[in-house]
Amino acid sequence: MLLLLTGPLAGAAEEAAPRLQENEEEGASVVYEIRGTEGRQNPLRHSLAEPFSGDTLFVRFSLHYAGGLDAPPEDEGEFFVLWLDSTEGNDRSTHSGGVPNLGIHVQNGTDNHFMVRFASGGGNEIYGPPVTSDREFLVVGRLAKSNPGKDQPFDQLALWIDPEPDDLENPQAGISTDQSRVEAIRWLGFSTGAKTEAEDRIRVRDLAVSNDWKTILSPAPPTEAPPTTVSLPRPVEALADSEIPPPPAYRVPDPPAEIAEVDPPPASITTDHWAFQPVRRPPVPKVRNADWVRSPIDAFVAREHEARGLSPAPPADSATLARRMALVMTGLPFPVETVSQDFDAYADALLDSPSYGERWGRHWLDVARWAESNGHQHNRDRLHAWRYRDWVVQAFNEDKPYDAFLREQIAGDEIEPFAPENVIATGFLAAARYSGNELDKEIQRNDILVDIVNTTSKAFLGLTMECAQCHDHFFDPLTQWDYYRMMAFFAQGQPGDVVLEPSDTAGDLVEKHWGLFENVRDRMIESKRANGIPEPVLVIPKSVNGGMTAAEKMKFAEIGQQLDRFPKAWAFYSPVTSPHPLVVAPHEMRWPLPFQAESLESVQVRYLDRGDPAAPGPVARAGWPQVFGPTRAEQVAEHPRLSFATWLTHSEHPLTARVWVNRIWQGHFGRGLVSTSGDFGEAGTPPSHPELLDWLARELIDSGWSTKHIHRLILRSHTFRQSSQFSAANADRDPDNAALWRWQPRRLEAEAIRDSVLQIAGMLDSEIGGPSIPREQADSSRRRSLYLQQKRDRLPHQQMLFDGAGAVTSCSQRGTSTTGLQPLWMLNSEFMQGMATALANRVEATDPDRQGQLLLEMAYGRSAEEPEIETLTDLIRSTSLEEAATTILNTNEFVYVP
Amino acid sequence: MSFSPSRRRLLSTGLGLGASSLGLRTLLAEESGSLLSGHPHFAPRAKSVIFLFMSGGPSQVDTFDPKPELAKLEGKDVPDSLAKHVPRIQRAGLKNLMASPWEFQQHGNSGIPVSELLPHTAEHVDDLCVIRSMQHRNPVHGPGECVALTGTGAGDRPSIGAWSIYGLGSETRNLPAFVTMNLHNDGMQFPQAAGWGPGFLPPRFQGTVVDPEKGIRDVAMPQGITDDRRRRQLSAIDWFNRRHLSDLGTHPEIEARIRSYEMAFRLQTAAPELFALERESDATRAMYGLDTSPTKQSGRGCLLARRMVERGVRFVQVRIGGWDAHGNLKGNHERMCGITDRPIAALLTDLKQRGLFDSTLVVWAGEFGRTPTMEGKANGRDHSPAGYSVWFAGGGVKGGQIIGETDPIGYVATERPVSPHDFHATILHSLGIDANRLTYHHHGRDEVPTVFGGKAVTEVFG
Repeated sequence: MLLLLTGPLAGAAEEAAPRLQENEEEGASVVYEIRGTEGRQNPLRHSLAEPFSGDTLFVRFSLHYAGGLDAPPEDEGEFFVLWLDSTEGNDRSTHSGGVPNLGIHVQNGTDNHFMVRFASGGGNEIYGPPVTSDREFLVVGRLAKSNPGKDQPFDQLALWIDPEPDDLENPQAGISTDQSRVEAIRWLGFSTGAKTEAEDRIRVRDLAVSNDWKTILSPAPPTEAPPTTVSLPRPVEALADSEIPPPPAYRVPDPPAEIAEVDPPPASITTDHWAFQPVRRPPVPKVRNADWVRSPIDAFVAREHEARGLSPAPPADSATLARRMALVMTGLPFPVETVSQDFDAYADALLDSPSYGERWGRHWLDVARWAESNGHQHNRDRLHAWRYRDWVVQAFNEDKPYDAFLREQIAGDEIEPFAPENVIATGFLAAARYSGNELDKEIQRNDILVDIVNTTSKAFLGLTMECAQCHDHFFDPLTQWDYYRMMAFFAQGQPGDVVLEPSDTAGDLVEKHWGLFENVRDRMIESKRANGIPEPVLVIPKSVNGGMTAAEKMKFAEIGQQLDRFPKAWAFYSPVTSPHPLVVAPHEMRWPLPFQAESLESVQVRYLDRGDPAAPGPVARAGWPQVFGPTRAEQVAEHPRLSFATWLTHSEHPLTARVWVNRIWQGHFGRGLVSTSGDFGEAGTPPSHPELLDWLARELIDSGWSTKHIHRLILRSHTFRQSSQFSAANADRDPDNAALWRWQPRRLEAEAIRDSVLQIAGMLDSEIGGPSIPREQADSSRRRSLYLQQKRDRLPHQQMLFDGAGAVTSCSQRGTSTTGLQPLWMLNSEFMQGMATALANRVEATDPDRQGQLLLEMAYGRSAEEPEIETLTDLIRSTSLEEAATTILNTNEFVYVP
Repeated sequence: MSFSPSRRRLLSTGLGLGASSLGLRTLLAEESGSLLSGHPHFAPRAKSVIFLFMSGGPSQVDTFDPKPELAKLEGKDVPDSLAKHVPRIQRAGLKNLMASPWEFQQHGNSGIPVSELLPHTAEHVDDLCVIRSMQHRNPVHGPGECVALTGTGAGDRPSIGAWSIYGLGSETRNLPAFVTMNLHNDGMQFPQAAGWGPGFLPPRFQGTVVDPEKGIRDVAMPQGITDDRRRRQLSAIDWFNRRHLSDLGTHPEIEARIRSYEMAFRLQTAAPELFALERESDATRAMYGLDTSPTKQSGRGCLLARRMVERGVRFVQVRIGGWDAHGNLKGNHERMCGITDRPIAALLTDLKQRGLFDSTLVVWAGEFGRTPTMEGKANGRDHSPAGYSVWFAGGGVKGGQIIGETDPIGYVATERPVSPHDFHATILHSLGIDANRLTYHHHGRDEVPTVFGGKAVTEVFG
C-alpha cells in the first residue's frame, strides 16, 4: 500500500527525506481493509527506510470507514489511529503514551471525530471534523518539533482533512504538548481498539510520508485491484530463544483505556526455601533401636524419636491393624474376604482390591475439585463427567505411574497416538467451573483459566499460585508474571463434551445441530429486530428450542439422538494444540465460549493488572515460574501442555515427587510430613521429617513413579503399625505427635462413614463405575458414596455434613468439624434407620443373649469384652435390637480409624 | 538445604497470631463447650442480625428512590449527560426510560418517600435508614448474590453470616448460631450456597439451611422412639465413647463429638419448640399474614426469624426470591411486595413489642437494583448494580434518614456510593466488630471480611 514519495530536501535540514521501507508485496494499488476484534489491534506496521529525526514530517493516508461506524448513544462510538513512534511494538501495542496519534475518537461521548493527540483520554484529544461512513477522506498530518534538533521531541501535531494546496496555514486541529517521548520516527502503523467491532470495515490506502507539504498532497495513482483484507489478529510469534521473561517487580501502571507495552529487562529469581532445592536421596540413618526398623521409613522416624527422647508405642493388635489397614486403604471395614495374619500379604490383597482405587481415587478427586456440573448460577449438569472419575479410580487400581497420571490429566489430548482414555484424563482441567450466564467473554474465559492455574499449581506443585493472580506472591518466589505465563499453557483449549473417537459422522451431526440451531436463532433475532427490539438482541437457547417449527424440532431431536450414540467425556480439548481432530458435542449452556480453532488460536493471555480482565497488560507467553529457570521457546512451541507436563515430571523437579509422596503419606496417617499438603511454600509448614520426605520422593521416581510401591513401604513399617496408646511422657515432649510416636486415630470421611454403615448392614452394592446415581435416588442408593452425583452447590447432604470436599477449589485436606446436626443424621435419618434395621436383621436369628456380642463384633471387627456386651445387651432389652444397632453405629469406635 | 524459617516468615506468623486474637478467643470458647458470649471490638449495638435478602433484584425507582424525572422522560433515551456516567457493563440499557407505575408518598415524621407498593413498611419509615447509593459492578444473579453476601463474585469467600458467628460465636447452645431460610426459589435465581457458606473458615461457621415448613432436617426421632428410649441410647453411646476415649488419652475432637450428641439432643427439643408457630397468638399470626395465601410463606419465615433471634440465634438470613422483573414489572413487583410487605412490617412491629428491636439489626437488600430503562419491549427492567437501595433498621440504627443519592433517573449512585464491602462492614459494625480487625489466617495471609477494604457507613447509626 505504500507510495514512495521523496520530497525535496528541506532547506537547512541535513536530514535525509523520510521514506517508507520498500516492500515488494505491497503496491500502490492495494487497499487494506481492517476489521476490528473489539480489542486492541495493531495490524499494519511500517518502518521508515531510516529513522527520521528532522524537524517536520508530513504523513498522509486515505481512509474510508466503510462499515460499522456507529456513534453513541447507540453504541460506544469508534476508535482508530495512525501512530508514529520510534519503536515497532507488537500486535497489541498501544503507542499512546507520549506518542503522536491521529485518527478517530469519540468527542464528548457523542460523535466520532477526527482528532490528534499525544496521550489518551482525559481531554488530551484535540478534535477536527466529524467522521462519516459515506465516503473516503484524505487525512494529512504534520508532526513537528518546536525546538529544532535531532534530540528534541516531536511535540506538535496538526491535522487536515481533504486539504487544498493553500490550506497549509489552516489546519483543522492542532496540538502542542510537553508529553512527547518521541525524538525520531522509525515506525508508523494503524491501530484499532475495543470499540472496533468485528463487523467494522476500515479501508486505508496511500500511506505516505514526506517532509514537504506539496509532495504529500500529490495524488496517488488510482487503485483498481480489489481490497486486500488484513484479517486479525495475527498469530503470536513464538517466544524467541533470546527473549527473556519479564521481571517480577514489574507493574503495569493504572491502566485503562489504553495499554502500554513494555520490554522487560532480564531478571533472575532465586530462593533458599527448602522445597525448591533439589531432591537428593539421603542415606538411611543408623539408629539405636534397630529392631524397630522394618521399613527404611522406620529408621528415619526412629532417629527423630531418639533425638527427642520419645519411645514408640507398642504395635497395634491384629484386629486393630487389620481394621486400620482396611479403612485407610479402601474406606471399608471389610473389603476382602479374609484377613490374612501376614499383614504384608494383607496389604497386597488390599492394594489388589478394586475398593482401593475407589478410596484413593476419591482423595484425588478432592484435589481435582471435581464435580459433575458447571457451577455458578445455572450450574448445568455435566452428564459425561463421570468418565473422569472412573479413569481416576482405574489409574489407582492399575498403579498407573504418577508421571503418566499427571501427563494425561494435563495434556491427554496432545498425546500421540490418540487414546480415548487420555482425553478422558483431561477431565482434571475440565472440572473448572464454567459460567454459562456470562456475556463478557473475556471474564468467562479468564475465570476458567484462573481456576485451572490455581488447581494445577496446588495439585502438582503444592504452591498457592492463586495469590499471584493479583500481585507478586507475598511469601514465595512467584511473580504475577509467572501466574499469567503459566496460564498461557492452557489458553488454547477449553472444557466441553468431547466425542471419544475421531469421527466424521459425529462432526457432521454437530455441524447440523448448530446449523439448524443458528438458523432458527437468526430467524428469531431478525423477527425481534423487525419488531423494534433494541440491540443487542439476545435469544437464549431455551427460546430457540421453543421457536422451532414442528419439523425442525423433530429434525433437531433426531440429530440429538444420533449424537447420543457416541461416547463422550467432559474433557479439556484444544483444536489448536492437539494433533487429533476431535468433535465437541453440544453442551447446553446459555452463552458458551466458541469452540472453534480460529477463535481459540487467537486467544492471548495477558498480564492483568490486579487480576482484573478489564485491565489487560502485555501478552504473557507460556512459561513455568521463573524461579525454576528460563523457558525456551522450542520447549513449549507445539504442544504447550505436554511440554508443561514433561517439565513437571522431570526426575529432577524439586516439587512434583515431594508433593505426591506427601499426599500419599497424608492418606495413611491423616497428616502429611508437610502438614500443609497443598502449600509447600514459605507460608506452609516445613516437613517434620525432611530427609524421609526426600527419601520417599526418590523412591517414587526410582520405582518408575509407582504409587503402590510407596504404599507398601508405609504399610510394612512399624511406624504405621503402632498402636494409638497414649504416653504422658511422650506427650510432654511432643504433644502433637509430630514425631509419630503413636498412631493418631482420626474420624472417617463422610464417604467412608456411609460406606462402612452400608457394609456392616450387609447392604453395600459394590458395583464399580458408570454414570452417577442421580440426586433424587441418593437417599435410597446402596452404592458407594463415590458414585452419588456430585452437583455443585447440591452435594449429597451427608457428604456436606461431614466435611466433604466442596468441589469449588482444590481441597488438599478435609477438616473435621463436629456439629449437633451430625448426630441428628446418624440417629434419625431415613438412611440410618434403614441400615439399623438391616443390621438388626442380620443378628435377629441369633440367641437373644448373644445378639449384643454379635453386633459389637460385626461393627468393630474385634472380639467384644464383657462390660461392653453387658451394656449393649441391656440396651437391647430396654429398647430394641434396632435401636441398639443404631447406637453401635453411632459410637466413636465405629467412625474412627483405629 | 536450609529449613530455618526466614525472617519474613517469623514476622508474618507473629502478626497472624496477634491479629487473629478475636477469632481465636471464640474458637477456644466454642471448643471448651461453654456458653458463648461475644468479645466485640467495641460496644455492640446489636446482638443479632436478620438479613432479609430480596433475591432477583428489587427495583429502586419503584420502591425507595422516587424519580419524578422518569415520568417526564418516559419513552426517551437516557440523556447523554447521564448516560456517560452509566458504567459500561453488560445489560446497562440506555434506551426507552420507563416511569414508575406507582405513586410515592412521604411518610412519618421523617417524610421519607415510599412507593405505594409498600404501605406497611412505610408505616415504619421513621425507623428505617434507607441507603440509596449502593453500587457494584456485577449484573448477573449468581455472582451478584455472591458479591452481596460474600463480597466477591467467585463464591469462595466466607459469607457475612459466617464472619459474624466466627467473630462472636453463638448466644445459644440449643440452636445453630447462623440459620438461613430460602423461600420462593422458583425461576432461575437458584440460591447460591456461598451466601451461607463458610468459605475458607472452618465448616462449623456455615449457615444451617432450614426449611420453614419442615424445620431442621432429621430432627424428628424415628417412629416409636420416645425421649426416654433416646436417652438410653445416648447414655449407651456416651458409655462406649468414654471407654474408647480412656484408651487414647485426651483427644479434643473425640470429646467434641461426645458433646455434639448432647447438642443434638437439645436440638431435638429446641427445634420443634422453635417451629411450633401454633403457640403464637392469633393476633401475631394475623399480623404476619400466616393464614392468608400470598403472605403465608414469607410470614412464616419472618416470624421464625423473630423466634430464632429471641432464642439466641446470632444471624438469620431470610432469602425471598422472585424479584427478577425483566418483563411485566407491574405484575412482578405487585406480587413480590404483596408477599413481603406485610410480614416484614410485622417483623419490625413484633421486634419492637418484644423489646428485641434495639438488639436486632434488620437488613433489607437485594443483590442489585434494576435499570430505569425498559428492557426490550416487555414492560420490565433489567438488572442494574450501578445504584440501588437497601435499608437498615433496629440494632442502633438511626431511623428516618436517607443516605446517598442517585442521578435524576435513579441509574447511578452519585452521592456517597456504598460498596457491598462497606455494607458488610456496616453490619459487622453494628455487632461491635471492626471489619478490618476481624482476621482469619489463611494461606499465609490474614484474611478480613471486607477483602477490598470496606468501611462501615457509620452515619447509619447516627
